[in-house]
Amino acid sequence: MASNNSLQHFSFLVNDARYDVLAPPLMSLGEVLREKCGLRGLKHGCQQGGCGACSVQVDGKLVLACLMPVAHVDDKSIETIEGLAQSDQLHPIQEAFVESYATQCGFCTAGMIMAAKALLEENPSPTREEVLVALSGNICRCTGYQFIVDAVLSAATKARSTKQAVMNNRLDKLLPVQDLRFNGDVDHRNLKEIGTSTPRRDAISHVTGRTVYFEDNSFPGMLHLKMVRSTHHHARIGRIDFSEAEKIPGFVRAVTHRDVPNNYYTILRLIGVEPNDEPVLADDRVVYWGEPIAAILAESPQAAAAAAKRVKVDYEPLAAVFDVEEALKPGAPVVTRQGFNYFRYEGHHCRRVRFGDVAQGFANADLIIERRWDTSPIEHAPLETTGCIAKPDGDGRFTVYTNTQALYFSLDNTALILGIPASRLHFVGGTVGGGFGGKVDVMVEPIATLAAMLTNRPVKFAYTREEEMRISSTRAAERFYIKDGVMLDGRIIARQITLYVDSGAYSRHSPYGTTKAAAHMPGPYTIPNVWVDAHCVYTNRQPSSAMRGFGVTLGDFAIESQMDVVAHELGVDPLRLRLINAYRDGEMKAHRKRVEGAALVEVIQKAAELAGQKLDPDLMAMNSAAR
Amino acid sequence: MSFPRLLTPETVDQAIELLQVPGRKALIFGGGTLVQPFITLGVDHHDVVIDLEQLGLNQIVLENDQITCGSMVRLAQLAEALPREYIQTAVASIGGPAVRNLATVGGNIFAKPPYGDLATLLLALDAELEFAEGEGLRWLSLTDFYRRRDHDSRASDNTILVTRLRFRADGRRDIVFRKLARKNLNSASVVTVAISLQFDRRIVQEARIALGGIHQHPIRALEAERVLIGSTLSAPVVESAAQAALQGCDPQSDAYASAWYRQRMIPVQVRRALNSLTTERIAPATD
Repeated sequence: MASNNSLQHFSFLVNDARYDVLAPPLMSLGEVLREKCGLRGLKHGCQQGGCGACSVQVDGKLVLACLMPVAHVDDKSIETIEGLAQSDQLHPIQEAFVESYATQCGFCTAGMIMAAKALLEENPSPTREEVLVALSGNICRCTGYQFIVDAVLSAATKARSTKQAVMNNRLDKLLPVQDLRFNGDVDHRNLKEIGTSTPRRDAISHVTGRTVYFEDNSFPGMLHLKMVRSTHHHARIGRIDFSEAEKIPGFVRAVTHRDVPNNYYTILRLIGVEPNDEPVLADDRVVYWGEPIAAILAESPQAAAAAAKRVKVDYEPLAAVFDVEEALKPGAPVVTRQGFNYFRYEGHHCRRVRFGDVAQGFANADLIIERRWDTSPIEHAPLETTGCIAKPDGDGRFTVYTNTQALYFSLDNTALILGIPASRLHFVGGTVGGGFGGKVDVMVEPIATLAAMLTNRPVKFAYTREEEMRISSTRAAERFYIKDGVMLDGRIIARQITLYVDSGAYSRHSPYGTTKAAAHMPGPYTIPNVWVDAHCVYTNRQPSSAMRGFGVTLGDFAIESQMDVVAHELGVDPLRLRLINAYRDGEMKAHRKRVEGAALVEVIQKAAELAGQKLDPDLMAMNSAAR
Repeated sequence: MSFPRLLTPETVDQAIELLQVPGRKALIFGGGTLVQPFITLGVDHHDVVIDLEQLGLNQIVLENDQITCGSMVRLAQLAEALPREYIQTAVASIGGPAVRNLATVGGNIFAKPPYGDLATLLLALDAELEFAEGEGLRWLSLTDFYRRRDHDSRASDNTILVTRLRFRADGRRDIVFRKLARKNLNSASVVTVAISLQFDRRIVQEARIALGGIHQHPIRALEAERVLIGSTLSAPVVESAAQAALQGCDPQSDAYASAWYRQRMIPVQVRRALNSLTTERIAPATD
């Protein structure tokens, strides 16, 4: 009745093949299939039943492999993505996913296909609504789902005709697995691609679960790294006590800032940004909740987590600041080591744009319209969490398998932090389970590589879902004050913008994002008098960084919202307001770049037409070539 | 490895015995949807895990209008066995298909907000549950079970062995389940409302209103129930019951909704739930 904590024997079928494994009975089925059986087509996006990427079937029933202990599948029959393609013929669902462009990063694909398979086995002719219900436990961050639902509906049709095909002994109608693979030798001289559908070159690999993400590598003797993180927003660190952690079976060692050769860095130092403001591991203080303090290395993820929880850190809490404007006031808690809470741009307290004379513009205006706009931080939420595996090679070099979006930034920063020549590092990447700008921050590679150096063993450091959501960088929160001087006919003659970018506790990519934001003002409009102060501000919030169009997207939100307010206040049609002010070729932008290749007027005209919005003849007569 | 020991009792008596062994931290394993992540992620240390899989608690028995359901019955199994609309709606509102194939009826009693939607329905159905106490088993209404837990912080949820649940399903009551969530499918509760009313002609004789997603466990809106009893579901009565539902509610903020928003949604959802019953009883609904 009682089973012992040590390894136990389990026997089950996976895709009709018998597997005999030795595993702790409470190890999850997902971990057993991936690590013990080598079937890594299923993915772990959360390990808590939230994402669906580990969907498999057990005795025909759809389950999440992360929620079942291996003890519950003894003697059972399991189906995984690896079993779908038969003798090099894609399963109709896989084929439909390829043909419908239903894959993007591929991390959710195996789970989606297994959920679709379970649906079609029960209900061969589902409605669109039934497909939505069946896939509701599976999250996709890339596609927006429509192509996936299309694929399942098309697979249903395909499966019916395939049944017919099987009966007619015409299996060849199915797509061979190899046929759609990327072929670099194809003769592209005719270059007739526009208007034709070209399969994604990674689609077959995604639908068969063969794509290798960093976590699909596993090495003998691999250690697991778990970070001890700050439980305060701002505090001085006293003693760190590892004695209880050391008692956990499987604990190997702890790493602190003393072990890091060059502890301070900033990602963009590679392009001349300074200062190096962020420690790899905190030394005397922490400035945001979740900041890494010490790395625990252990034989299993569970042992690493258990040991990390037992590390005692003495904190002396300090006052924290969470608002950009509060952070700039005299007497505010100081976040940075420089002693002031803003990034200094060539000696200036903010990034500035000066064009014309706004004071004169406001004096000449018929009306002044002022508004404040705020945005919140946004998490990228990739389905695959940030992580890497660093492995010592036999020749003194280290191979690092990573899901970074910035391979060479990561490699070069790792070399600088470790004080070793870049030639000792071999980074393998390019396959990313969703990034959206959230994987450019060089967070895991330096410490994992250091840990591999210190232990001479492979080290894996992967964020949990909670770390990904609560600790990894976000899109910056931004605040805009926009003051417009406008004429009653709709011309905007002066625009003054003060914007604050919340960089959080460290720089990462936000000083660069702030520069982009400043250059993007005052939007795609020709305004003769412009004044911009763009502040990159440090607060005790989690650091912000890159995310799709950062510095630009939020500025557009603020500017276009402001444009709607101006239109409303003037009683002018919002499209007329934009067409009157839209920049034309040859005009000078506020940051002194002449407009070339403008098309805003034409785009608005076309959009109005598509939306069934009639524009007055004077607006239809406008064009971007001349005012 | 830091996995706890797995113990798999084969009878309820064995399970009770294992839970009573002193000096070790135990964790009950039902469907795994709440517990397995704790083990995998090493969130908390436990010495032993007691698995209910082999106890035969997966039966649903329908007898004299009473449904008795083993605590290990999976949500999908419950929905398949009981084609009543309120059961279907409640189960369909929880997780995705794979989670419903694993999650158990008993486990839902312990799901923390914003989860626990089936428990909210069970509370409105006046369900009773059988659980281990001392060396034996006893039945208690879910209302009293939750009340006791509020007052007895010694008993950890992790070691309460629930074996069966039972509730009436006689068709004499009008039952409605409504869940407000951020999206249509697979989303945790902002506010969940389950209402069961028994009428004599048009007069409410008996009322149960349960709210989920608000408190540490589903709660009864007792004031709102009092407003309804002895009245018809006229628009003013519905409105005052909706407002009365706020009494004693102290909603929490989480990633799904702020306390502020939940507070405002409670009367709205109670009113809509009641109106969905009045359309059959009275008409016309005003919403």
